[in-house]
Amino acid sequence: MNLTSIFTSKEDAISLNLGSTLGLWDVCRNKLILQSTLIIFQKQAQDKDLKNMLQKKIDSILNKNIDKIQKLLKEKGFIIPSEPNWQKKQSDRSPFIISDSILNDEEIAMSLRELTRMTLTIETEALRNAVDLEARELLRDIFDGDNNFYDEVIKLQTDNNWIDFPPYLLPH
Amino acid sequence: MAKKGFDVPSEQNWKRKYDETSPFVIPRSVIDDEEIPRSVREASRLTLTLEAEAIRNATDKDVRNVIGSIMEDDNNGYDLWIKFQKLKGWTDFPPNILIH
Repeated sequence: MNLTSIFTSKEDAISLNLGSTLGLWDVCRNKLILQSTLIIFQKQAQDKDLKNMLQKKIDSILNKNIDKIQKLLKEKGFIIPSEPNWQKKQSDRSPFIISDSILNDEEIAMSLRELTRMTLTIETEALRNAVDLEARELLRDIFDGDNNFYDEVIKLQTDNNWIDFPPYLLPH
Repeated sequence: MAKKGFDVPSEQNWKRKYDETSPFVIPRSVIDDEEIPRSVREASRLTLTLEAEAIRNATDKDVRNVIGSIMEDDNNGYDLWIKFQKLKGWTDFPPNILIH
């Protein structure tokens, strides 16, 4: 057996390894669950940059990441995590009111950074456990996008002085 | 942390958030009862991940005790959310699988 055949056995065409399947499932489900929160944040945000950043994120999650994972899992014969109502969530124009004292721009940015940390944790675990080549490439691609987004959120926090980072330390 | 001379992460406004009685309107199509426990469970996963990392890295006894106790509480809470999801039939758990 050469190295190529390790990645392209007959069984690979119809199956996925346990780690890959669970990882893809977990990453997809996490993105579906985040939809509601991101849409609430996007509707509530006042700051133009924050609002645009959230809209771009919502669009890219749905159009790029979820579709790709669902397609790969389906191709391999697995049932997929799905959320049939996301279009309704985005197009809903009914009244939306949350007081700023409950959730303001600074808190949205902090929560967004924290949620992205969770996403990155789930994605690195998935990537660590996946051995199928297709799954690894897809997970790495998704991780790259989300890690860049994490950079953007930290930059936005820093630019706006919405900082809640741990204190600076000195050696003893 | 304050006892050891560190700045502490603080949130001064939490009481005001609870007491806020001004209008609060989010359409059900954006978030409903089934999606709320899913989101809380997912957020609890992050909390447990952060706590597991913290306890793995902590070597001071006081710190380990504090984090250990917080983690136990949060893990019990996580159990409750999973139980609640099952009770209501609001599961979104990965599929059951068989050995190939």
